[in-house]
Amino acid sequence: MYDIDELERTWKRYRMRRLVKISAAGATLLAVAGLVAYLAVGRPFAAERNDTAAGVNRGALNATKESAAAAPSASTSNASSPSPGSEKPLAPTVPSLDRDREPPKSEKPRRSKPKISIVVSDRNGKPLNSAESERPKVHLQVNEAKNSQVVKQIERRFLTTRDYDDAIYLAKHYYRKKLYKKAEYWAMQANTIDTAQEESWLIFAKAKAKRGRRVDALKVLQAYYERSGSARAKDLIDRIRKGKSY
Amino acid sequence: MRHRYAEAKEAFVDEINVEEYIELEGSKRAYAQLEHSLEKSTKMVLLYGRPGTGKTLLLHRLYRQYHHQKDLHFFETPTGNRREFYSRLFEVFTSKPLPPKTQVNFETFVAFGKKIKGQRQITILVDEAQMYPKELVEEIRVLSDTGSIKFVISLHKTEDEDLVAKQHFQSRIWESVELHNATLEELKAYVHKRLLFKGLGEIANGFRPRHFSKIHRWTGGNFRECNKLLYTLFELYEHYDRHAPQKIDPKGISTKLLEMAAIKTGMIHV
Repeated sequence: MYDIDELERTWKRYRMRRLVKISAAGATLLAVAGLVAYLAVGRPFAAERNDTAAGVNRGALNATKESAAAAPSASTSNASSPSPGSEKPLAPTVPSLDRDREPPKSEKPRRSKPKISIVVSDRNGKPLNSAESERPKVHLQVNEAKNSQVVKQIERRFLTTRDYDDAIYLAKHYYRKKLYKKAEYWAMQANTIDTAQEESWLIFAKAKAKRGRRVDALKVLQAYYERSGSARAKDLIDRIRKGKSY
Repeated sequence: MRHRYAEAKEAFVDEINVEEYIELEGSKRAYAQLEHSLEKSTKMVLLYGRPGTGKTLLLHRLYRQYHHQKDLHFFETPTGNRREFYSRLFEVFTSKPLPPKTQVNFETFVAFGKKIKGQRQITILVDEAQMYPKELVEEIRVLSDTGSIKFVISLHKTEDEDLVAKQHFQSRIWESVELHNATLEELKAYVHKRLLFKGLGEIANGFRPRHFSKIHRWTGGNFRECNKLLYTLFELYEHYDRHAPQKIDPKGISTKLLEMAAIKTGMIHV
C-alpha cells in the first residue's frame, strides 16, 4: 500500500501551488479588467470633459464676440462725443467683460481635483508617454506570456481539438528551435489530420534531413512530389540532394 | 463480504475482457467499418490509433464474433522471427501444426495462396504490426496480393512513428480505420458503464462533471490511462474506508482523492 501520509503532504503542496497560481491569475485578470474599464469608460469621459471645456470656451468666445460687437458701438459713441472732457459714460460694458474673463464656476472644482493618469511603461520601466510626468503615476507593466507556456497550452489543447493549425504551428515552432524530433512529430500529426497540406510534408522532410536521415527525407518528398507535382517539394529535393541550405 | 471500493477498483483492471466490452460512439463506428471491410474484397485493412485507444479489444471482439462463421484467424502476439510467423501461417492454411524439423519457404505459401483463390477467403488479424520486421511486412503484402488472404493489421501511432513506415503501409492498404482517443462524453460513458457492470451505480453517480473534466484532461482520453487513474483512486478509497472512514464522504467522489490518485500515477507533477 502507498505511503498515505507522504501522498497527502504532496497533495497539500500541490493544492498550495494551485491556489497561488489561481490567485496570480485572478490578480492579472483584475488588472486587465481595470485597464479595459479605463479604456472603455475613461476615454469617453475624457472626451466629454473636453467637450464641456470646449463648450465653456465657446461660450466665452461668444461672449467676447458679443462684447467686441458692443465695443465698437461704445467707441463710436465715444468718437461721436463732441467733447472729450464731458462726463464719463455709464455704460456697463467693462464689468461685464471682466466677468467673462473669470473662469466659469463649474470648472473650479475640476481644477482642484488631483489628476491621476495611467502610464504604460515599457519593459525597462521607461514611460511610453512622458508628457504628463508631473502627475502621480500608476505603472501597469504588460509583459508577453512566456512562449514555452503558450506552446504547452497549444499541445494540451491539441489533445482535444486535433486542429491542423495547432499541429503545424507546433511543428514550425520546434523546427525554428532546432528541436527536430519534436518538429517531425508535430508535422506528422498535422499530416495525419490533413495530408493535402504541403507545409506538413516539407517540415517533416526538413526535420528528418536535419536529423541526418536524408534518405528517408528524400523518400517522403519524392512520394509527395509524385503525388502533387509541387515545385517547392522539387526545390527541396534538389537542395537536400546537393547539400544546399534549406 | 467484499468491500465495495475493492469492487470498484476491479472494474478498472486493465485487461482484455470482451464480455465487458463497452460500446462507445468512436469504437462503434470503427467496428462497423471493420465488419464492413471483412465483406469487401480488400486485401489489407489498417487499424491504427494511439496506444490505449482500444485496438486490441476491437480485434478480439471481431475475432470472437466471426471466427465460427468465417475463415478468420488472430495473430495476437507479434513475432520477431520469420520461422515462427511461417509456423503460424502453416497452421492457418492446413489446420495442423508445422511438423518438427521441417521448414516451409515463402514461395510455397504464395503458391498455396494462388492455388486456393476462389475456394477459400482467409482473413488474418495481426495485432501490434509495428513490431514486425519490415521484411516480414513486405511478405505479408505479397501474400495479400494473391487475393485469397486478407490481413487486418493493427498499428500503434507512437511518438516515434515514422511517416515512411506509414506510407509503406498506406500505399498498399485499401482501407484504413483510425481509432481516436475518447472524447469527454465517451470517457464519462466509459466510467459509468464500467461501474454499472459491477452493479456500482451509486459510486458511478458520485462523479461530478468537474471530475470527468479533470480525468479527461489528465488522461488525454486514453482508456488505459483512465483505468490506471481510477484503479488508484479506488485503491485510495479502499484504504481510507478501512483505516480512516471519517475522512471520506460516501455520497460523492472526492476531488482530493482524485488529485492524490493523479499525483500517485504521475499524471500531476508536483
